[in-house]
Amino acid sequence: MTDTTGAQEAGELPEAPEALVEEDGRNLMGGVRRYAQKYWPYEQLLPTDEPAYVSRVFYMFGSLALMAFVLLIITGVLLTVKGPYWWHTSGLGLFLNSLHFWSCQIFFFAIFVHFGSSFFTAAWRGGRGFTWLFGVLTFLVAVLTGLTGYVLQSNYDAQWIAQQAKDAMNAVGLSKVLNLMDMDNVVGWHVIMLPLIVAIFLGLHLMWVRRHGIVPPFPAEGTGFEGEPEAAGPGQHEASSSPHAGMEEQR
Amino acid sequence: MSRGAPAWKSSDVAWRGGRRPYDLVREVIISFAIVLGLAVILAIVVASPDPQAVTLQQWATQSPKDFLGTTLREVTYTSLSAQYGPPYEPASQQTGNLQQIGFISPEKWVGVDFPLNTFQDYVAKPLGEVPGNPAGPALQQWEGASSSQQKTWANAYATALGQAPDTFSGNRYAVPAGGYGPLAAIMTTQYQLAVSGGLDNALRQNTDTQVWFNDDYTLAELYLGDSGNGGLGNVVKFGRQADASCLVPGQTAAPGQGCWYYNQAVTNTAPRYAGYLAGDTWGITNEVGNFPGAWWLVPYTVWYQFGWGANASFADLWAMIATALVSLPFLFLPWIPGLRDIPKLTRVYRIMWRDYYKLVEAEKSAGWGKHAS
Repeated sequence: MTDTTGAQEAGELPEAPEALVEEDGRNLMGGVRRYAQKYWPYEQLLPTDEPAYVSRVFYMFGSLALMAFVLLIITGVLLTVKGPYWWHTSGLGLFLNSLHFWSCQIFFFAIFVHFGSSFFTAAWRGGRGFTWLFGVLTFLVAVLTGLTGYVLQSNYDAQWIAQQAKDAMNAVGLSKVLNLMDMDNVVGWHVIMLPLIVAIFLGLHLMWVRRHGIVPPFPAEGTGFEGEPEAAGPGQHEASSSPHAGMEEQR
Repeated sequence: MSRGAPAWKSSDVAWRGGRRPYDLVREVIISFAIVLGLAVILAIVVASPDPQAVTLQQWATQSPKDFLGTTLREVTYTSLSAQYGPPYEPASQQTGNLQQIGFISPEKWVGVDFPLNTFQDYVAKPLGEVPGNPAGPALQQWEGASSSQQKTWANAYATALGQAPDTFSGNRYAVPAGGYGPLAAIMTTQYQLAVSGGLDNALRQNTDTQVWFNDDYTLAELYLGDSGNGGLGNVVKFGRQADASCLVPGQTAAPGQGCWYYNQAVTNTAPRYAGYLAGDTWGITNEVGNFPGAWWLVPYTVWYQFGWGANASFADLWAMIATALVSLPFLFLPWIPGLRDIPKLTRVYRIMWRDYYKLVEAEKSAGWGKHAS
């Protein structure tokens, strides 16, 4: 049925006919690969060095928020598997519940510090507008996740918050979509849908952080956007707060 | 890299102002260790709040007059949830204020998606599940009576309830007898069902008797929320007069006092130590006791502290719209001239990157070339 070539005899696979191979992956998957290779080359995706200006402790709060999210997922999965009777009545359950509670507090605290440092360093410069946008979307969905989590505590606090916060949900027509007094409904949102959406936005935020790197300082007098010495000092464009500042150097 | 694709360099990879070694894996490990360590210490030392939820059984036992007075309003369709409007009843049945700003009223657009009949859902159906159905004939008599007759009985019952003691000794029903017809059997049986704990379970099963599995607490929580006409927070929003016994933070509830459910969120006593959970004290951003609450909801709850949020009948709709309106510029801040220039104008970044700016000054003084790669 097929010709036996010398290469096959030597144990090598035959080459596919050239007509079947799209040159350089000229199909949809090839497009995705070229895009990924362009914007996330390994040296940027997994860096082993960083600019010298990344030296202050405020840079850590982004990764602290990320790790708090990881701990929230781990403790959340355990709480979901064991159920409310367990976390209300056993010592280990109460401990896990407390761990989840404090992970949540650390998560939001780290996010607020991260927001503050990102704002005051105008971290959207150099094409980083979408990094900011994905970060804010992460926070907004996380707020809703936190609210549904407080309701899922299934204690007095949860009861009061559900009964009070339902007025706002009703007012904007979400009574059927998110009924805070219906635990069957809230579990689906808090345990599956909202963490998934947070994870998606968080993933996009991280990908854009790696795509553009950590924003350089506002150019000092006599330097350009990438820290290069410039006799004439930074131009108006380079020193601006626009997300397009310094973009021409990155092409 | 594919043929012809331009080389991409982010501005930090292209950075020519000096570099330092960086280990991403190490940062992840250290960050996780910090978060885990901190959370474990706080979980062991401080733990977390876990006051038990209140029950209709506790309500009827501790404040029988408030429970029975609220139940009477449920029977006569004059309670807060009976007249809430959408999504529980058509807007035409609403006596309070519809949440509407101009033509914007999502609750009216959505309409009734959780049909509620307070007499049937809170009283008749649960009582129908009591073995022997002792209130059956009374319920039939009530439903068959004219509205004027019902009103006469309800007024007579309200008068008798006013003469009842604040607490019922040994949970024995103690409303003086009177000419209130079938309400005698209905209210007695409802009270007995509540103090036995049966009402808590019955309200969970009530939405659809075909569904055995149910964790929907909507009926029970709406019923509890009707205690004391909803408390002080609903005076403006729903145009209702709260019970005189509704407290403000710092006050202590007396045994048998009305407005029982609302007062649980205001009094700072065992076992809940709620204290400041009511809406006019930043509500749900607080947590019981001294624990930090959902403080990240401040950008939303702040709208309830002044203006329309504190004084308008559409407070909830306004708070949600205002939060959304503020979120939009926050979301698109990088593209909004003026707002995005604030960091440059405040120059806080000079402090945050002070090491870098010192280095540049040193390099300039030395004639460049030392730190540039």
